[in-house]
Amino acid sequence: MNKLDQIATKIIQEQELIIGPIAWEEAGEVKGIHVHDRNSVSIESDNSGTVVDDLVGKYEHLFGRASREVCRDAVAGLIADLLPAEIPLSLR
Amino acid sequence: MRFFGKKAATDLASSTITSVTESLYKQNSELAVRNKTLSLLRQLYQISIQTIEPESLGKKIVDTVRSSLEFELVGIFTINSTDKKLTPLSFAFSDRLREAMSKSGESTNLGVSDIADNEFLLSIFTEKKSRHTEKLDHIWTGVIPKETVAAWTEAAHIKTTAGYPLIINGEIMGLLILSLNREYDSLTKFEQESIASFVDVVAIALDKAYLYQELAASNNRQEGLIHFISHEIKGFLAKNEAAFAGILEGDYGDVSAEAKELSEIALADTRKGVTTVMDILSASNLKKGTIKFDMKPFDLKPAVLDAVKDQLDAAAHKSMALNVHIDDGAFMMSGDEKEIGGHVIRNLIDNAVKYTPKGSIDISLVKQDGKIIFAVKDSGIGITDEDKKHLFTEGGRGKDSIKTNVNSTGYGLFIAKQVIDAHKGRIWAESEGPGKGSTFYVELEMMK
Repeated sequence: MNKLDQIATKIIQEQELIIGPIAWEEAGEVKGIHVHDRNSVSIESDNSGTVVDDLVGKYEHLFGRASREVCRDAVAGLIADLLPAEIPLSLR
Repeated sequence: MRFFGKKAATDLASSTITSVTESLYKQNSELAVRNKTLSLLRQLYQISIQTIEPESLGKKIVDTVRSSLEFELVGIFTINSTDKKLTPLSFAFSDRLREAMSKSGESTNLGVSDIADNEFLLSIFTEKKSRHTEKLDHIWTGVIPKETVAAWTEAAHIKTTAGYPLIINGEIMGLLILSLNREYDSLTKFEQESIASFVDVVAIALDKAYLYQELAASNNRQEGLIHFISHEIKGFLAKNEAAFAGILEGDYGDVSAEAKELSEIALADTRKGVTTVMDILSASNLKKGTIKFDMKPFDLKPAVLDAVKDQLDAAAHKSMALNVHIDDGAFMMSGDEKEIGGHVIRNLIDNAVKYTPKGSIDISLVKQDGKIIFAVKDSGIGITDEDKKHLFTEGGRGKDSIKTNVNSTGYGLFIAKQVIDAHKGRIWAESEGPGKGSTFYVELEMMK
């Protein structure tokens, strides 16, 4: 699992703690995200960062600004290892 | 009166729903943080009640905290208050940090010989407050080469290392170290709440584990001492017993009537002393599990009759009747005849005689549903509810028992229970209260 797959999975797991299993359903509707047994995801796209942005945007559209903060907090440890340019815009 | 158009009404409804949804999300988000913190605390609590050995407890704590918060390093040091030396108790590392440490080839002894030489650690101990730094090497200044720690820091992307004093009763007992791959200010609400909550939990859990360790060591020392003293005293008493018995049997020629009387009293007292010491030794051996029971089939009836016979004189001396009821037939059981008959049965009848100033004692041995039930009912001093709780514990004689039996050691019933437990039987006492007598029961499996 690459870093952005881990980031997307962590975001969904954190959203699941707040909104329940619907977090996986919503993630499955994001283009480029492939959900594996409501347990992890893989990103199938040439631009993984954009897919993560779309995922964060999806939650933000549904639940407001607070959901973006939840996403950022959830992956704080993971994005700390990335170069600034590698961090998806929505998480900067 | 104002009227909304259809679109305006729809927009208002939609905006309201969005607002409610966002508000609910925020509430759920806060609850999720609380739940995660509680879940971590629950895990630490479970660890603390299931683990009593400090090293093992420390290891489980650091592993749990590290994996829950995804830190690079979580470690616990204990401190020696005399020489201010920090000894590593348990550490947990991320995979990449462990790999870097392994590659560095440096000794993985993470101890700090004297915190007086370490400004960062010293300030935590003097101020009793947490502190954080960007430099991991601040922990091991002068202990591990700077370049080595720098290599670890780089490999694990460590950006912050924080030290939290573990405080019990105002005294620092240790130090919790956390290293993470982010700036301290970027800690999330969950991480901040968790750290604030679990530092105290870790301190309490460790304190409990160390207390247990000290208690166990103290118990072992006490047991050893009891064994040593008892053996020594037993040796002296045995010599005295032989000497007084020799005097009474004429081994040293004729003695005066006064000397004979004195020797009789001394011999009886010495024998009581031997019994007491043997009780203490037996209790100690039973606790250590060093007594091996000689399990063989035997009939309990003769053992009961022998014990009754031995108490006839003592009972007659008090003008007390010993009423015996024994069912017909043999009472075959598998067990250690010497321990059951020689200790348990004898002890219960002996106690009944000693603790009954006047009245009568009923002794019964019956068969019931495949079990042997032995009972001794007396009209003696009875047992208070408080005494019932300690009756079969080590040294657990009744509060007022010493008034009636000055030779009470408090070990007799403890030994009896250990023996009966080893035979998978039951021993218990019933009493309606002080002055109302008591009945002691023993239930043992009958041989089929």
